[in-house]
Order: sequence, then C-alpha cells, then structure tokens
Amino acid sequence: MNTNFNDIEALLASYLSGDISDESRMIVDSWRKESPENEKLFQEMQYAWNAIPILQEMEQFNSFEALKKISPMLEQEGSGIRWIKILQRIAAILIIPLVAYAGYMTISNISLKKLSETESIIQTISSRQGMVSKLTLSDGTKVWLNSGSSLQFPLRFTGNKRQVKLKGEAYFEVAKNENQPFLLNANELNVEVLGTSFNVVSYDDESVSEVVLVTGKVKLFSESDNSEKQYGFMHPGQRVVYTKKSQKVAYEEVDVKKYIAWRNGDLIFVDDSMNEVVKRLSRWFNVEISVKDPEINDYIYKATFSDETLSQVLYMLKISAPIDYRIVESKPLPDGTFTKQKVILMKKKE
Amino acid sequence: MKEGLLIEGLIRREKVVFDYVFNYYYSGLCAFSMQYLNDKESVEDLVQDFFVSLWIDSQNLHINTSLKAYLFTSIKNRCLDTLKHKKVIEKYRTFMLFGSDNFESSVDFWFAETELRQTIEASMAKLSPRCREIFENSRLNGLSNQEISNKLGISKRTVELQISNSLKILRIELSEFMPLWLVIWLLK
Repeated sequence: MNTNFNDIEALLASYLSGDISDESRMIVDSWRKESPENEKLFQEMQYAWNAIPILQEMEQFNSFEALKKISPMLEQEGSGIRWIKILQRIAAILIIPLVAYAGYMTISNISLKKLSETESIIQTISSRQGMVSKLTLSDGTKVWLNSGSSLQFPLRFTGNKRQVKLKGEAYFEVAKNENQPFLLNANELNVEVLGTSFNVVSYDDESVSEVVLVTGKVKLFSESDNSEKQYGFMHPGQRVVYTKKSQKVAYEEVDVKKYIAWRNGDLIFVDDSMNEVVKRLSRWFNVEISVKDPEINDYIYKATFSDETLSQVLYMLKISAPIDYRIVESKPLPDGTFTKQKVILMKKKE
Repeated sequence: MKEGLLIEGLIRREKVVFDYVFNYYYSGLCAFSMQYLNDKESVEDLVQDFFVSLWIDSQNLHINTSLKAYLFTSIKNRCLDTLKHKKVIEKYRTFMLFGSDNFESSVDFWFAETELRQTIEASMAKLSPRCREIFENSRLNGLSNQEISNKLGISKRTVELQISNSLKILRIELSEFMPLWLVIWLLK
C-alpha cells in the first residue's frame, strides 16, 4: 500500500489519542513498517504529541529546593576546593560591594529635638547600591530593602492607617493590625493590607511597578492626577504588574520564591530574558551593564547565584550562553571618588 | 566549546558550574525518569543521588558524547538498574504518556525544561488562534477530540485536522532535539 503522508497525518491525531477505528489503526501501523523514514516521522509526531504533557510533568520538579537539599552533602566532599572558596570570599570582600544583610542605612530627616512630636516625624531609610537593609518599623512590620531603594515612614504610626512610601524594591512582612491597615504607596500604585507578606518593585525610572503576594491578602488601587482606580484583591502566589501610563494591571500566577530570593542574598533567574538579567545584575552589583549586540536580549536564562562575585557570574554567563564580556575598570575622578564600574556584554565570536 | 567548559568546570568541582548544570537539567531528568519509575519521590532521590555521585567522582568523569547525552543515558541506566533491582517491572508505567506498549522501542525524550518551553512557545506562536485553542484544549487540558468538538461547536473531523496541523509544526521544531543515535538507528 502506498499511502500519502498527508492522509496519514490526518489519522495521527486520532491514532495518538487512542480514539481510532481498528481499520485506521492498521493503515497507520502498516505505513510505519513501510520504511525507516516513515517510522522516524511517526516517532517525531509522537514526540510532538508528548511535548506538552512532559513539560507539565517537568514543572512539578523544583531544582532550587532539590539543590538546597543536596548541597550539605557536597560541602563535606569538597574539602579540596575549600581553600579556593575562602580565597574567593576574601577577593569578594575586597573587590565587590557586598550584598550584606543589615546593610548600610542612611538616616535622614530625623529631628531629635522634637522628641515630643515623634508621632509626626517622618524618616527615610535608603539602602546603598549593592546592599540589602533590614529594618523593623514601630508596629513590628519587617522590611527588607533592596539595593538602591528607599523607604519613607513615620517613627510612630498614628491615625487610622499605617502609611509608608517606597521607591525601588522591598519585601514586607506586615504585622497584623486590623484596626489600622497598612498602606504602601509605591509611585502611583497603592497596596493596602491588614497583615501579610509581599514583595514590591517600583523604580522611578521604570514604566511599570509590580507586586508579588506571598501570604495573606492585599487590596490594590492607583492614584495619579487625582484619578483613583481600584483593582480589587490579590491572592497568594500572584504577581501583578501595573503600567503607569495606562493605569492598567495584569495578573499572573508565579513561583514566588524567585521574586523574594534577593532578601537572602540569592539571585535567581528562571527563564528570564537577558534584558531582565542585565537589569537585575546591574542593580545587584552596582555596575553599569551595556549590551553591545541586541540579539543577546532575547536569550533566555536560568541560574541561581548566592555568594558569587560579579566576575564569577559573568564567567558563568560566558560558558553557558553565547555571550562574552569586557570589564571597563573604574577611573578616579578629580574629587577622589571613582566612576561606576562598567561591563559590556557582546555576542561571543565563534 | 560551551559544553567543554561546563564539563571542565564539573571535573574541577566548580560549584557555580555544578549548580548551573543541576538547575538546567534537574526537572527534565526527573520527568524523564518518571517514564520508568512513576513515583515522584523515587525519581527525585535517584536524580539527586546521581548528581551527588557526579560531584564526588568528578575526577573520574569522562564524557565522550555531549553532556546532555551523558546525563540522560546515565539517568536511564540508573532507572533500569532500579527496576531490575526492585523487580517491579510489572509496575512500569510503560508509556501511559507515550501511548505505546513497547518500552524498548520508544524514543527517549531528552529535554531540559527551558529548551522544551521555548520550543513549544515558538511553535504555538506559529499557529492560528483557533488552531492553538484546539491544540491547547487537547494537550494542555486533556480533553478528548469529541469533547473539544462539543465545546467549540465544530466537527470532530475539524478538530482532528487542526491537531494534526499543530503537531506537524511542533514536530519540525522539536525534531532537531531528537537524540542523534536514534535517527541513525532508524535510518540504518
């Protein structure tokens, strides 16, 4: 029998789903046996048929959790490389502005003279580039402030709302107080909560703000030019991206771990575009990263870093992606400070 | 080139390289093992054990094929050993997924999650919205062709044709990932 492949293709969807008549099944079976090429085409079709269920299967396995589980076993065995590790750490301390826990804080606007008026004193805490600051507000709310971000809050919360203002990225664990809701203002976007934990990213120079909810429930609304818009409630595991220009929000379900890993000093990329990777690395290490070949931006990256230095991270990029880099060293300025370190990413020449 | 550096990094026990390879292949290797062991906990243990021993024995690591081929064949051997050892061959899931009852003749699915997702997304982008909707209902939501036909108010024949059409496109995108040995073996 000489069956046209187009006819066979039409039968394959039924064949693969098992919903097929015996007669048609025999046609496909004998076509498969006709030649190795036919069999190869069949196998490829089966491959395609299985692709999505297998992807769904893969999604239930979490490599980050698994790696955490086996890492202690690796440390014990890695005695030979311990020295290198220690040296690397020393090098990191010397060269790179380290991502530290209770980092530097610049406290401003505090007027100690007016202690009696502590209620009305507003203070601002900024986390320096390359640092993560952790602080506790007067109501017990814990805040992790990412590199280059600042938070404005009153020394004591009065009135019927606990109001704070954020520029940049922070993770909040809000102490529960149902009588006094916690209200976060992040540029135009507002997040109102009773007691919950969530991550917010809202940089002035970016067109979007985002909120990732870890536990509890929050209410979102925006305010700009006197127009107020309500967006309803968010649920745990959701990420909302708010576009400033259009005042629109988009919801998606995410794995929250990726978004809050920064507060433990971890940098996690899961299928992020190079564009996003560059943005986050430059904030993290306080360097200016420029991309010379735009094709790089479309590259999708997956990796986790915890205490790697900038050069280690760049080295990893180089060996795992078609990317090369060049570091432009900082230059001294007349006033004794230095220019920001620059990194140029380019396509690897084969 | 890139592969060579990764393998060298593994041999030298560079933790960043190890972590990278682990994160990149872990879920793919687990899903692959599920075809043999069909138990989430056992496959995770098996893949984790493999990586621990890879780290410990890194000095003796000799990879003549690609890193990917090495990982998938090593894991496959471990799965088969486990099955032999436990004598639970009758419990093989034996391709409920694959719709085939012949274990040996089926094609191994060598994919890292990232590669597979990118490939599927690239293929889906080429489909018309209607065609995509039908395909997703079938493969993502697991509806039968008859159910889709009822749901969307179109004939079952149309559903079948559209699914075949989607498969054709996906097949072309995926074919470059077919293990080379298989292609050679089939065309012999």
